[in-house]
Amino acid sequence: MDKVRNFSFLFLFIISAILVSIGLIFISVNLLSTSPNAVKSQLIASLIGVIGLLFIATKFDYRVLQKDGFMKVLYWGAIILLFLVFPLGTEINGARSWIKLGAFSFQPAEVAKFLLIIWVAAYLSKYEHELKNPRKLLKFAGYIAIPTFLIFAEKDLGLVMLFLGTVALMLFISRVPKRYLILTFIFIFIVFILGVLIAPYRLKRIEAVIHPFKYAHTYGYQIIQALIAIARGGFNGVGIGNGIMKTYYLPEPYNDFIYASMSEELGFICMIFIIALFFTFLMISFRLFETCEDKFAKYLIAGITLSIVLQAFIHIGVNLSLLPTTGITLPFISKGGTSLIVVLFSVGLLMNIAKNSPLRISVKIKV
Amino acid sequence: MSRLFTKLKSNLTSFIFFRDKNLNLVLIFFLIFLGLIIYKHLKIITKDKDLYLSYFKKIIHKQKKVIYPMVTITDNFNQTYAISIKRTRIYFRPKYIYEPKKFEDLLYKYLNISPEKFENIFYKNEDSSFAILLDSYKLNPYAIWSNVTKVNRIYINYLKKKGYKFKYKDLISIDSDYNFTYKRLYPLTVPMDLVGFVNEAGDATSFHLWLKNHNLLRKKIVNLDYFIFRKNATLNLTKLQEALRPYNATVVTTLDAKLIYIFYEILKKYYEKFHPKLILAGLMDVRTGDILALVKYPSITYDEFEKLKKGEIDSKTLNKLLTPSYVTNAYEMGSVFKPFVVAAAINEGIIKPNTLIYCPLSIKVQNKVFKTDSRWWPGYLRVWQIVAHSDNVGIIKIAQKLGKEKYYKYLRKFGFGNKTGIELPGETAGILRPWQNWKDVEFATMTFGQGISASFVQILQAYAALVNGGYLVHPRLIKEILDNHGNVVYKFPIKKDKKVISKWTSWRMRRILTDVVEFGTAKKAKFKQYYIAGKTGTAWKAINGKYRKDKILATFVGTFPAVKPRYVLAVLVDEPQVNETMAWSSKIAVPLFKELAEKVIVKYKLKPDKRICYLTRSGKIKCRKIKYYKIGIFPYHNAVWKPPKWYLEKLREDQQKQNENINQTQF
Repeated sequence: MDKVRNFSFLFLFIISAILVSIGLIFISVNLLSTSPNAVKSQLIASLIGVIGLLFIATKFDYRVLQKDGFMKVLYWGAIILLFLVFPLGTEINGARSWIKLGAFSFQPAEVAKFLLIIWVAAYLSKYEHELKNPRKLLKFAGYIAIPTFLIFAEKDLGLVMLFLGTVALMLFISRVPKRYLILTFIFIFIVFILGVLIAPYRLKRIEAVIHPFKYAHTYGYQIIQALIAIARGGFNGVGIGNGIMKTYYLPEPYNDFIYASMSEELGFICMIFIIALFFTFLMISFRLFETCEDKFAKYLIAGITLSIVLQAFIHIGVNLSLLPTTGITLPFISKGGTSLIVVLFSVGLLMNIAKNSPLRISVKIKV
Repeated sequence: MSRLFTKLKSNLTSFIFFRDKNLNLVLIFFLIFLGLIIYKHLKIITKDKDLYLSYFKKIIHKQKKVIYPMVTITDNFNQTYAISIKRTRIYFRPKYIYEPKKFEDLLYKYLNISPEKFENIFYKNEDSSFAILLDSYKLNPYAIWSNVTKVNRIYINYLKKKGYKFKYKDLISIDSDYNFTYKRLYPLTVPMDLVGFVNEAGDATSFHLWLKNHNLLRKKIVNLDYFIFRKNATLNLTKLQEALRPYNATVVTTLDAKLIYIFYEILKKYYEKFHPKLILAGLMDVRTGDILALVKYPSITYDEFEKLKKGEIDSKTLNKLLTPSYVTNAYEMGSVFKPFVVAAAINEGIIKPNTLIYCPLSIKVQNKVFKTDSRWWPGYLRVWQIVAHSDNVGIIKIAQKLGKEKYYKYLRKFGFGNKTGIELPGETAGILRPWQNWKDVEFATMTFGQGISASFVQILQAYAALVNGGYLVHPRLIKEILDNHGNVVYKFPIKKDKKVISKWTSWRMRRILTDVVEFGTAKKAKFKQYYIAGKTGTAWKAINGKYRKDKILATFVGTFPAVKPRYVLAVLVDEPQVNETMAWSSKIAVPLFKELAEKVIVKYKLKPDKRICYLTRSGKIKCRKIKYYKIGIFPYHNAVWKPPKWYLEKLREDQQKQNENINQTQF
């Protein structure tokens, strides 16, 4: 068991370092000549993230987060952050989710998501047994619903679905009776329907997944450009820095469609390597999950890894036109300081768990 | 075995799956997702690849591209041949300018546009929703951009306060990066047949500088349109232009624009004197193959082109003026080919420059009799004399010693029959048939350059090889490509080829060719202070299979300074309209050559190698002659060209007697 701990402590760091450096190299090769400031800010963000990661992993105890007072701070802090967007926020690409503080600008929704996942993990570990009571479950649902609708009001449906999906998977892993899970899925479905009703173009986007060429100039435009980029890349890619889709055709080649622009330049083989890294990340943290006795640690691991890996898979699915287009970035790799820092901090928490949480005593019984 | 298998199986399952049932379900969910991703990705890059790529090609043609400036072309001395300059345009919407007075004030305040000018434009198109307010090449668009937006903002706010309603957000606007237009300028008054020019929209009417098969270049900077290029074997500069535009690149040529201008003026003078079809002149560096000048007359400069009104010139004649005749035309250049026979024979060790050869007045090959034009007495001639006086019989005798196969091999080595690879379109390789097909008569005519045709640039290349120590250098026009900041992006290599003749043979050839100028047919090209090594060529043009004496092609190719050659300068005059006594290269091409060579020597300040003059301390000018044998070791210039007088008189008497006999028999 101790072996697994050490192994995961080391390899979580190595995998995240590889992924971050791949992203940095890709962005800096392509953007250094045109916008060096973006590269600089990305570099600074990754430095802050790594330093924070090492600090959280070693000089901190995750069990502090479990305390009652801290839980309240987490929850209300997240909600205040989400509220702050309405007076202070600016609109970028149709989603009102950015706050500018002088030279800094950050996405409070990303931070809030991180805080809320910690809160959910703490809540589940404390009141798990009470959730068999439908009333308590409704209360929990109420707690979840407030931030969801706040993010929803920021017109960021992708993030809403990601957050709800993560919570649903966490509930699935926990010991809440399975019949209540159906209720959560219905909840998600209602949110989704509401989203579609408010903005009908979302339905067309779903249609564009199936028939991209039908909406080639409207809803399917981005998908088609991404698919062309991937097709151009082939197995080996055209070489880093040589892609042409990113210049005029592919929108957001370093954020929402970084998978497509990377697979144009690096090719299928490299992209399989990256996907494999994400998958091993999942496997290693689940192995870590098995060694833990502490429930809070378990749910925290589940929440963090699922949010990261699910985000990555949804991003890739969108790029390959398996899912409708939403503005979701690829964790570790995409351009964007806030999400990179948050993701690295959460990896730091995982490493902290590997270091501090009490070992589970397992006894093999032979019959 | 079965035990081992079960153990392995259990190990594997325990490695992949977890003890927790829910975790396994989540894992399976992700595995399915993973499989879907890999399947879809593979499908895109294999099965559906053609579908997407063909669609992409369609888009590329349809979509409006960002307009970048075309590349700048300069000569080797930083003179700009061609450059693109940004054009600034300001638009406004006259229909929605409800209060022109206020707008007028704003324009005057921020953009310095006078009220009268504004009113003039405004009242002309009052009802139109869109008009151009300003159009100039002199303003910097980035400098006035902020002022334009300021005017727009202030005026819209003003109108909103007054209670007007309109749907447009931009009542006044300026060109953005996506719709800038450029003007192509050609500042030099030189003939444009080398560079060509394009019209304002950027379509090349005739753009001649081509680039071929430069793989390195393609990978480094042409990544933008990489896959368009990949299919084509050759890529011309009009396409490369498109690719280079975003980089704001500069193409540096090897040319010297000032020299070209001087040459052009001199050619013009000679054109008016002789009225030929065409005059060509070219200057090439012997060691690097850099073309410094290639000039032809008649040609056209950009100024002359701009002054022409519509319909004054049709596209056919314009194209004719702009075709690079140095590479597109193949000429039978005559005696210019004689040195190659001698060089081959010397290199093979068959003869030496001083060998005596008996030359009769005529020689019979198969059924044809070849006569000499250079002398009327038979006798022994030395090899250098044969070349110097351009003796046909002598050269045929040397060639017969050499043999067909070797002559053919050497001509091939000197680059005849192959393209030179210069960066100009429409190059011919000339005509050089394989030696197996030569009849004996044809072989004899080929020794003095009939039946072989070569382009003007090929002759330059071959003479360079003859003189520079014996290696072939291919001519080049483009030196390097610079980026926006003046850094060298790509350097074109010097195209040095295989060895043709040995260093010693080259040395001897230099000496033999110097004799042509010092004692032979090209005495008019003699300089006081410089040795020049060259060869004249007068060729009768073949029209309908017959060689006509009134239509000649006068050429002269010279290299200088002869002791250590640096430049090869060739001159070609096509069909000069002169009477028969004047119809010799020594009277047409050689004076032209001398005038051009003088300019080159003055421009590049070449060191004299024949006679050095200097100021002594006492203030007198002293001159010192460099000894002739420095060019070649054999002091045979004392050899006699004309035999003694008594011998000649006796010969003449004999001939007269023979003629009388013939006349008697006829009557």
